[in-house]
Amino acid sequence: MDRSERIGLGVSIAAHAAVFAALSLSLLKTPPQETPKAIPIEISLADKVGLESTAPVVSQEELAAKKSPVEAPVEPESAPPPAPDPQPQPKPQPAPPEPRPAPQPKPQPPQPKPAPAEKPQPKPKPAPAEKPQPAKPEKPSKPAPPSKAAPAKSSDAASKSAATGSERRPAKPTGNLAGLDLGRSNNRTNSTALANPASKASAEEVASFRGLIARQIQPCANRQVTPGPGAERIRILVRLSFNPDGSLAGNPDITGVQGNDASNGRYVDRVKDLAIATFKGCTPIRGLPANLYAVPGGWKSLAFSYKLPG
Amino acid sequence: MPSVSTGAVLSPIHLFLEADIVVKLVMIGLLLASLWTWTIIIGFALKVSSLRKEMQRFETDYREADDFDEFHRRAAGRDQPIARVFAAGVSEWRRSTAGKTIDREGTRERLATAMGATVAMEIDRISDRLNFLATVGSVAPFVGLFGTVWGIMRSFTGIAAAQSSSLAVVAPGIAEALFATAIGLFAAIPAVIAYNRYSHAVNRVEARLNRFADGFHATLSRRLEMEG
Repeated sequence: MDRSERIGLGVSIAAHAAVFAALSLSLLKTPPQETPKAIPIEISLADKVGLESTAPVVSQEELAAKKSPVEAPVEPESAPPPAPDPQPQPKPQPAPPEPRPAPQPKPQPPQPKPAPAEKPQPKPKPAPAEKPQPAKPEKPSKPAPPSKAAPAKSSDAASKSAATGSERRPAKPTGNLAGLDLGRSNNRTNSTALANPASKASAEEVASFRGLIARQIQPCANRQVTPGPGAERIRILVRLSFNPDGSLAGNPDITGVQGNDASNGRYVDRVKDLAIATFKGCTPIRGLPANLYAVPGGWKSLAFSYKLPG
Repeated sequence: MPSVSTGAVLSPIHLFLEADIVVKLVMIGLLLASLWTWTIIIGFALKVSSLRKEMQRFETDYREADDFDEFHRRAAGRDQPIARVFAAGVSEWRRSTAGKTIDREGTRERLATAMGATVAMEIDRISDRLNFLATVGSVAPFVGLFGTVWGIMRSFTGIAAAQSSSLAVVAPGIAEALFATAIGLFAAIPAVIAYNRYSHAVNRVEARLNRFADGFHATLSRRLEMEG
């Protein structure tokens, strides 16, 4: 190593150190470009506007029996409100009886009488909006009971009407409508038909539970082996009947065969067997919505089409 | 095991420290090769330029000198290739003409052989380092590639272990591995360029020494005739 090489070594070490430092200190680094972040957008395929109502149908059951237990607790609670409420004019008539909170025992004897009053109650319920109209015709027939029902009843009515709403006041003073009001307001929560089945499975619900069933059937479907060439073109239409617990009620019904021709006709029976084995193998289905079992369009009975994988 | 780095910067230290031991060795070797390559490149550039200047000055002095014996006394001590060629010619001349009878043809051949051998020896000495440039130029990319292949193999093993093929797991290891190839190319490219340039430079020096040797041989040959 002579002089020129020593110079060369020094220069090359210095140059390498310079390059190294430049890269280390990222002097040559270009600032990273701002890439717009992909914002995931949720896409919902549900049909927000159902063509048919899927709301539960209002129960038509009779309500009278519930009134008596409910009325007693309601009264003391509703007694205070009447005082601030007396703004409407109809009030003055029930107002005089109000000073008598003592006669509370009285309401109980009259209550057996409202039982016959069941007849007017069913009428308002089917169509709540129409209530004001049927209520008026009743007044003429009622005046007789009010006399028996005593002023206590009217105080009930007043207090109740104060609690529920002031619009219906004109009808209340007759007294008998008190039961009607109570019945309606309590019935909604206490009716035996509380676990209301939906009136009808909506399109998105149908798609949801059909997808659920298809997903749980899929593992069994994937296990099946094609019996021969062309067999995968055969479609077996199957009707499944479910028990409420998601298990099959009986064997799946073969309701039709599609896609069979001369070349694969001999596999039809085999594919039918495979279809039945598939559906039986992966049931019961778990997680099906209980309230959509027996409603129209529900999953009590479903048609599926089966096809071999491939 | 390559780990996911947060700040993805092209930092040689970072890439080096993250790499596998084999890749590290490859990187160190290539870095040393690059260092030595540049040492040779710079040293050779200095040497060739000074060589040209010396040859230029020596030839000028030689042409201006009346008598090569007297010139030889002045120039014999110079530590230069061209001076050594001249000295080889003179010493062969003196040995051949020392006797009573002179074999002219034999003396001419001996002069040509002696100076040719000296030229060849000087060229060998000048181009001593160039073979290293050639080696680095041809081998460094392969060494770097070896480091890259090794690093990528390691990084795929890491993917298998992590059970994840996301780019965040794969990318750092591959970047470190590719850094080995980058260093290999960084060392090889200048080496190849320098080797080609300096081969050409050495050829020119050799041609120049040969021209000088031929000219001096012609001078000695003429003198041989006059002496006879």
